[in-house]
Amino acid sequence: MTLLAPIFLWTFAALIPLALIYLLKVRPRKKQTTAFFLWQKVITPDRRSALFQRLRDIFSLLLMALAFGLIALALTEPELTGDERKNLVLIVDQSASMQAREGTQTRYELAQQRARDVVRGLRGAQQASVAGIAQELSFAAHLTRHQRSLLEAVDKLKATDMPLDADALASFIATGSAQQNSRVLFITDGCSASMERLPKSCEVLRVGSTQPNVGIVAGDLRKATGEVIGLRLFLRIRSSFAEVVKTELNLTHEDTKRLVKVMPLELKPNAETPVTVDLADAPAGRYIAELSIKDALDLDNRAHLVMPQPEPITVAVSSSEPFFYSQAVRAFEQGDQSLQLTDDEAKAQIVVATRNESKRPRTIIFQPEGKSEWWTDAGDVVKETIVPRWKNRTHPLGRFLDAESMDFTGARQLKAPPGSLVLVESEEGVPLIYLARQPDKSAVVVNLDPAESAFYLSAWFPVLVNNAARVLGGREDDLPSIIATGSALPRGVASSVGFFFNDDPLWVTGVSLFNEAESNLDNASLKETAQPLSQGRPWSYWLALLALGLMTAESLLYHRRKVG
Amino acid sequence: MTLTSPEFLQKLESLHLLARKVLGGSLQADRRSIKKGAGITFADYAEYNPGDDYRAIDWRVFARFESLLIKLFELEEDATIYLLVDTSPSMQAKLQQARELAAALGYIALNTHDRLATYALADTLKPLLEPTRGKAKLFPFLRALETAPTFGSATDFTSCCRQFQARHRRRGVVIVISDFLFPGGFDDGLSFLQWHNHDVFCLQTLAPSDLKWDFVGDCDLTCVESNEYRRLTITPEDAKRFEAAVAEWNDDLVRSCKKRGIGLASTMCDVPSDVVVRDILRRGGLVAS
Repeated sequence: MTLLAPIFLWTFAALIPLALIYLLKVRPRKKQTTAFFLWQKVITPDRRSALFQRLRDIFSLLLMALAFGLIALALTEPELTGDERKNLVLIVDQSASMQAREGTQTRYELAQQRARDVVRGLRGAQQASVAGIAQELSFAAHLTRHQRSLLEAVDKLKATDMPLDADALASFIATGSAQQNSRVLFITDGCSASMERLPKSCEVLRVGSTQPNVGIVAGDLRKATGEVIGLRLFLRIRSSFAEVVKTELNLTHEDTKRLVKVMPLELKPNAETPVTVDLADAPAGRYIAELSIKDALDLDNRAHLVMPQPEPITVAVSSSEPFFYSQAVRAFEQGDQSLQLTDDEAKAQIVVATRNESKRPRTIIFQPEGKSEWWTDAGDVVKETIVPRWKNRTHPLGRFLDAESMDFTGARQLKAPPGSLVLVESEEGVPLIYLARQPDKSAVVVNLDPAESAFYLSAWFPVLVNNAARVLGGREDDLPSIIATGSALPRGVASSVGFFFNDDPLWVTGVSLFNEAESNLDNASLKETAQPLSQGRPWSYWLALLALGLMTAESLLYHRRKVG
Repeated sequence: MTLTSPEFLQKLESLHLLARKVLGGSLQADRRSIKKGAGITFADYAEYNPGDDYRAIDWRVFARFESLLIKLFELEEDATIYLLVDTSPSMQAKLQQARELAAALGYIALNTHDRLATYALADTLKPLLEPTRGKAKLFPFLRALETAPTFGSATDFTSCCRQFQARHRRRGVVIVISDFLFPGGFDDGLSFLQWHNHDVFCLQTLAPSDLKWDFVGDCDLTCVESNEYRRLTITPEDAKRFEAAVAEWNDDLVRSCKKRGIGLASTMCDVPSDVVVRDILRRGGLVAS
């Protein structure tokens, strides 16, 4: 026998004070009378058994103690070995594939129905909790025997557009969040890549059957390079139909509500079909790519795509040798259009300068020399071999850089201003790349001679210029423009498909399902592992009932002493 | 409120005035007697016998009927009032009312120039005030009543009556103020007093707890007088039987008094004493119902 709540064994300690209280309670009270002689006439001396009268209090106490002991034992919730009557954690799969149609109902409605059946089968005899899971576990009802609360919790849960993360459930079980004496019952269609990692202790109740489906499982929208000037759409469409499916792909520019492209598709059976569409002269903005097909799951027939159009950062060059700097900026002007070269230093957001040749508020300074507010004690060139080392590798300024392989020849002995963020320094502590900030001003200082160290020719040169321009321009991290549901966003998680508007009005994120496992509605391999639910009342119920009987018997016994 | 407080004395005075109005007496020896004698109030005619006072012959009657009849007049005498106040422990809850009733009756007696004697009654008789007369004895009387403690172990009414008779041969009005819950009964004592030509009047004062028993269950039942106790389990039926026994006991008292022509007034201890006395006076005084 095991006790589900052994803490309640301490309840037995209350027997001693209760016995004392009982004995005090049944102690005869002193009553005075002015007509004792009349009482003597009224009471017949040997009306009851004298022996029983003497032992009656002891009998009563024993019955009370026994009843209390049974209640205490019931509170500990004893279970006999082999009895599967454990607390039930009922988890309903809320993932996107549960929205798939099964006849007239969705898989999620079927799952809810099964959950309701399980709750009703408990008949309040077993404790259960109700939770839903897609990306993370969320409880709608904690352990209770109250059937209505559980049913309401089942109704409260809704299907989501997110893929199932079975690892979250596995982690819940593995970390013991599910109590030792609990059964985890997972109602799912099994359409998840992580289903195999589900622990065996998690019992599965399968809903749904294999359904043919077509879905967009990946997508991207990029600026076209090469001959085409415009956008290029990349899609991967998976079909689980056994035959070739002929359909159309409609591409709509959501901002103007204009149908941009209608493209006939022929999808291969049980395979993925890559689709690439060139969109000449297509504007940036929001696009919806939609398949014209009626299949089991509608959610994956649409892809929400965004071609962001942020304003480029204007960069001017202020150097006696501007060629390499201008080339580095132009590289990003033509590529992702994040930088734009300008000759007007006054209008430029960022200035790339050498030595101390610029006084603009946002400056990238190579080869520091002379006096400047961005360094102090600029001394001679370091003659020893400089061995650079990272001080802050994760800063966006150092992204894609391999600073330890860079040549810092020509670096000078100098000190960074107080409060500067040093990314790379020499072993001797000379700052080599650092970010210095002052009120309304900031500068990235690269302590090397680009000509002497041949840094102009290094692959890291444009990377560093781009990184520095982005950091100084406040564009350290580009927000994602096309993501799948369940991915992280600056604020929370992308929980539903559609367009997500970020704080920056120039940046919109398109959220689509893009999950192959969720789109593939084949769950033929999923085996139902749920054990039968235990029937009948728990031991604690019968113990409590017995205690009630004993208390009734004691009450009658005690009652007899009062009312005869 | 003590017996000698001005408020209580004012109450007593008003009761006295009521008594004079009801009983209609003059200043001396107001109490009416059934005996015939030399008073001024005509009572009856009687045949003349030699030796009778010839001044009492009604010559008008002789003139009409030629028979000698003499007029008889009510005898106006000073009576002796004996107050027997039960001060046994069973009277603990009712003693204050008993004292106040005794004080009221004693006040009236002293104000009407009757002789008054007061005794405490329990397992034996203890004098509280020896026979005395006049208003001057009012305060000693009241103080004696006020300071009278409860005493004794078991009230013996018959024995007390015998002790009383041994002290006083002179007949008078005996007023017994008690709950009449005497273990030895009340019949013998009342008979004894009547046998010795006393006018007996019973004033029964009871507490609600005497009549109703509201406890059921295990208890050590103790006699308030003798401290005798018994462990009992009292059931509601037992309590009902006890209440019936008390009621029957009181009915016996009523029947016994009626049979003997003894005046009886029963009251509860929570009724104000002046209300009780007024009620008695309105009924015509200390007479048998």
